[in-house]
Amino acid sequence: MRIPTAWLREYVPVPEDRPGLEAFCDVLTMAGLEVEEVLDTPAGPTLYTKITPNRGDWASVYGTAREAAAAGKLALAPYPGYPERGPAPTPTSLAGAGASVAIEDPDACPRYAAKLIRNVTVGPSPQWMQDRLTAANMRPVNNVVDVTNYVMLETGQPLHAFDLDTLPGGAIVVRQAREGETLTTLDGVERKLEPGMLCICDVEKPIAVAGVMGGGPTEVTESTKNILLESAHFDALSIRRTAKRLGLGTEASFRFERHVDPLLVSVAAERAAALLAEVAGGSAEPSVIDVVAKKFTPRRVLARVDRVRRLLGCDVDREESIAGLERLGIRVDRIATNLDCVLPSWRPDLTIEDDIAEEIGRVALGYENLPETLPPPRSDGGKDSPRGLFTRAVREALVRAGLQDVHSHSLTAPSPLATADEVAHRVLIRAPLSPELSSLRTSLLPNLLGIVRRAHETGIRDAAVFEIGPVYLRRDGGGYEEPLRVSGVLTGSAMPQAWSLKPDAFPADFYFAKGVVEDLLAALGVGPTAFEASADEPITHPGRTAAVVVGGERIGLVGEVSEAVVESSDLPRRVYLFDLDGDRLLGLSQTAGQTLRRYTPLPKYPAVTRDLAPVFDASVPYARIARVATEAAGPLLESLRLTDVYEGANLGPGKRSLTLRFTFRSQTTTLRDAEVEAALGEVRSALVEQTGADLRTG
Amino acid sequence: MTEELKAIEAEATAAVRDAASSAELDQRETDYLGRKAGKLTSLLRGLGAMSPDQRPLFGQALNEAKARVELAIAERRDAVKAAERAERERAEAIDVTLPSRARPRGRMHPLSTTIDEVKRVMIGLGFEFADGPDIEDYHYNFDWLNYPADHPAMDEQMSFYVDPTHLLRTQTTALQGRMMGPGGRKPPFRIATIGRCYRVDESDNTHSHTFHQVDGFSVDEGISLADLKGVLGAFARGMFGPDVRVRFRPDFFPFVEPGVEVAVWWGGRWLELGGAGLIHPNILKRAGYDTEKYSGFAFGLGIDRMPMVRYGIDDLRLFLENDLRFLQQF
Repeated sequence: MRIPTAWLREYVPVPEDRPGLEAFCDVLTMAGLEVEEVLDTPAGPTLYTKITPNRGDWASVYGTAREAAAAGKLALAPYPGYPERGPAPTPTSLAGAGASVAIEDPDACPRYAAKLIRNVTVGPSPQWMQDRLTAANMRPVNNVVDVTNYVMLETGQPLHAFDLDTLPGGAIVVRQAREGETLTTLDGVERKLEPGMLCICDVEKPIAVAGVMGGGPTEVTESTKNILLESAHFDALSIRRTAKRLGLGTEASFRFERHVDPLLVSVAAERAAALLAEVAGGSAEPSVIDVVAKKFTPRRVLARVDRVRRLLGCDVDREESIAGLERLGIRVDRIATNLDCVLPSWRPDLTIEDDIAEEIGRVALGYENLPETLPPPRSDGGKDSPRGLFTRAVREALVRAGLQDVHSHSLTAPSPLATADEVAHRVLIRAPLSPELSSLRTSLLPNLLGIVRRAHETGIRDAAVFEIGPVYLRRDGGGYEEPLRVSGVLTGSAMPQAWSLKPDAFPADFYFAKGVVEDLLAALGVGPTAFEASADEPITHPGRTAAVVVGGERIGLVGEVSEAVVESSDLPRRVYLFDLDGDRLLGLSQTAGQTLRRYTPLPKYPAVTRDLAPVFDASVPYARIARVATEAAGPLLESLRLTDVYEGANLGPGKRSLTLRFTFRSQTTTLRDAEVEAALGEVRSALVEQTGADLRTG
Repeated sequence: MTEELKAIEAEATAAVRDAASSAELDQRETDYLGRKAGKLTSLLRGLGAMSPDQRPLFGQALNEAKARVELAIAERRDAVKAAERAERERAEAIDVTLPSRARPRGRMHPLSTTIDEVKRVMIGLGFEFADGPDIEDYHYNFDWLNYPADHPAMDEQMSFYVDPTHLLRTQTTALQGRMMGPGGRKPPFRIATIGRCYRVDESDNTHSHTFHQVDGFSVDEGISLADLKGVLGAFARGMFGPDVRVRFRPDFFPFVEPGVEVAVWWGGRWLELGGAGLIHPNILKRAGYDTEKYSGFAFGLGIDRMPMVRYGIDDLRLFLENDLRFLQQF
C-alpha cells in the first residue's frame, strides 16, 4: 500500500528529515510491515508498504500508524469516534427516514450501516484530497467517490455511495444472488451472478456486488443530489469467493478478503459524512441506520509466560512483554504467571498462545535481540539421500568424461520427438498459459538436443552435454511417476583441442559415446555391460544404435540421432546420444556398493603377447569374435585387445581384418612357446569354424 | 719397453682428451685398449721377450697404465655424453606456449555446485536429506501446511495444476507432510530436501516459473526460535563465510508461528534467503505429536539467488536456458 507520510503524521510522529524517516521505516520493516521504498509524490514522501496476507489491518493509514507506534514506542493519536466495544445487536431491518436495511444473510453480512446525506453538489474534490488519493495510487473521480476512497484508505473500511434517488423507497436488502440475476458493474461489464455471491439489492434486484464493486444504475453522477452511504462488515471468505468467481479484484475486495475491523462500520460512516459535508456541501441526517445482525465479541487467549520463553528460546521480561502487547492494543490481565489476552477487533490473525509468543518476540523483544543457540547435536548424524548421492556420483563421472552438466526445464512444450508411449503417458498442465508451459517432459533428450542445436547456431560445433533428472509420466491406473533418467548428447570433435590431429581424427562418434557410458558405469561399479545392436529405436539410426545391457537387463541405449530427426529438429549432422534408466542404475550401483571387492595379486611371471589379424565378413560382430576367441584361448589368456580394424579393397567387398592382440600369462610358471602356440592354435581353428575367419594374413 | 709404454700412455691420454664425440671416444678406446690391436694391449705381447725378473714389473706398469687410460676414457665419456645430451635437448626444444592437447573435463552447472555446497553444509549440521516428487498432492502442498482454503495467502502461490488434486509443488515444504504424516517419522528428527518448485509468475530477470528451494525442518524437545536462528546462522557462515550475520524479520507463512524472513549480511547488503519459523502447532498436532513436549522449526530458502549473487548473474532465466557460452564460464 502507498501511504503519504503527511497523512500518517496526523496519527503518529513521523520524522520530517530523510535519515529520521529511514529509521522510522526500518522500525516498521523490522516489525514485519515491510517498507519497500519511499516514493516522492505531489503529496510528499510516500511509503510503499508490503502487506502480508494475515494483516488486513495494515491496509490503512491508521493501521500503519498503530503498528509504527507499537513497534517504535511512539505516541498514537486515537482515531476519532473509535468505540471501546461493539454495539448490541439491533433488528436486521429498521425503517429510517426514507431508507431501510434488511440483512438476509447475517453470516456473510454481520452488520450494515447506511447514512443518508442530502443536497450534495457533485464535483471535483479539493486538490489536497486528490493529491493524497493519487499518491496512494487511486484515481480521483468526484468528491463523493473520492471521500469514500479517502476514508477507506484512512481507516481500512471500504465504503460505497449509492444515488439515493435511484433506490425505490431507499430500501436496501443484503442477500445472496438468485439464479439468473445479472448486474452491470461500475466498470461497464455485465456480470452474471450466482447463488453464493452476496449482493446489495433494492426491493427486487441486485444493485451492487457486496464488498467488491457497485453497479452502474445506482452510481453517483454529476446530477446526484442525495446519497445513501454504505458502511458494512462482510465476511472475508464470502467476499473472496465472490471476487474470485467474478475474476474481479478491487481495493474493497482486497481489504474485505483480509478481514476489516468490524468496529469500524459506524466510525467510517461518520468520518465520511463529515468529510462530505466539508467537500461536497451535503448535510448528513443525524441518525444512522445501523443494523447489527451478529454482535462482535472480543476473543481471549491465555498465554503462559514459560511457554513463550521456551518457544522463543529467550527469557523475555514479563513486564516488558505485557507493555509490548498493550502497545499493540491487546489488553492483558495477569493471571498468576500467565497472561490473559483480550484481542483487539482488528487482529483476527491472533488465535493461539504461539501467536502471542510471536507478538512478544517481534514487538517486546525484537528479533535483533534474539540470541543464536544450537539444538543439541544428534547422534544419528546428517546424510544425503540415496538419490542425492547417486546424482552427485553420476555428475562427477560425466564431468570427468568431458561432458557439460546442464539443468533443463521440466515444463516444456510437448516434444514432437516423443514416442507413442510417451504421448500416451504425458502429463499435461491444465489451462496452460502458453504452449511452452503446457506439458512436462517425458524424456531429457529433446531439451538436450535443443541445447546442442542452439550451441551450433552460436558457432559452437563441439558440444557434449548431459543431464540427470526426472521425467514425468501418468501412471496407468492413476497417479504419476517421476522416473530418473541419465541422458547425454554429443557432437563434433571429441578432442577439439588436439591441434596435432586432423579435425575429424577423433570425432565425438558412436564409439566415443559408448566410451562415455562405459566410463560412467565403471565409475558406478556397474557391470559387466554388453552393447547389443538395436535397430528399431524411435529417434536413432537403425544401424548405429546399441542397447546397453547389464546382467541381462536393458538399462538404456546409445546411438546416433537418425537422419529424419536431424532434419526435423534442425540439428547438425552426426549427433550422438545416450539415454539411461537412472532408477535401475541407482539400484545396480547400490548393489555394487554392497559387493565385497578383492584385489588381484600382482603377476610373478612374464606375459607373452601375440597378434592375429584374420579377415572376417564385416557382418560378423566383434562381440562374437571376441567371445569365440576368449573361450578358445583357455585359462592362460590374460587379455584380448583389438588394436586395428582394416577395411580395404584388397580384402574384397564386405570384408574386414581385425588385429587381435592376445596376452597370455600363467600364475604359476614362465610360459613356454609351445603352450602359447597351442592356445593360439585353438583360437585359430575356433575362429575359422565359428566365425568364418580367413587366416591368410594372420 | 718402459719408455714405449710411457709414450703410448701419453699419446692415449691426449687422444682421449681430444675425442669430441662418443663415437670418436669409442674409436680411441679400440685404438689403445682393443683386445686384438690396441696399442697398449699389444705391449703385452712383448712380455715374452723379457727376462723373467722384469716381467712382473712391466706387467704391473702396463696394468696401471691401462687402468689410468680407462679412467680417462670413462671421465671423458661422461663429459662427452653430457655435451651430446645437452646438444640433443637444445635441438628438441618445443614451443611450450602452444595450447595443450588434453581433453578438458566438463563443467558442473552452477546450480549443481550450489546444491552440493548447500548439502555439504546442511549434512554437517545433522540434516538427513530426503526427496519428494515434483508433482505434488494438493493436500501436502497446501492443506497439510495449514493453508486455509480460499485464503489470500494462496495468491502468492499461483500453481500449475495437472489435475484437480495434483499440482507442481510450489514449495519444497510440501515434503513435511510426507515425512510427518501417517506412517511417517516420530520425533526427534532433522530432515532436509532440495528441489524444483513451480509457480505461475511473470518471467523476468529475477522471476521464473521454475526455481529451486532447500527446506529443512526439525522436531525435537525444546526447539526454539533461537535454535532456528543459530542453525541458520551456522548454515549461512558455512555457505558464505565466517563473518556473515543472519537477520530475522517477522513475516507470514501459514505453516509457521512465529514466522520470519531470513536475510544474511553478505557483500555489503542484506540478501533475503527465504522464510522460516517454528512449525505451527496445528501441523504438529496433525502429525500426532504432543505439542506440550515437542516443538519444531522449518525453513525454506531460495537456491537460485546464491549463485546469482556469488557470480554477479543478473538474469535468473540463464540457469535453465543452458546456453553453453554461459555454462562454460563456471
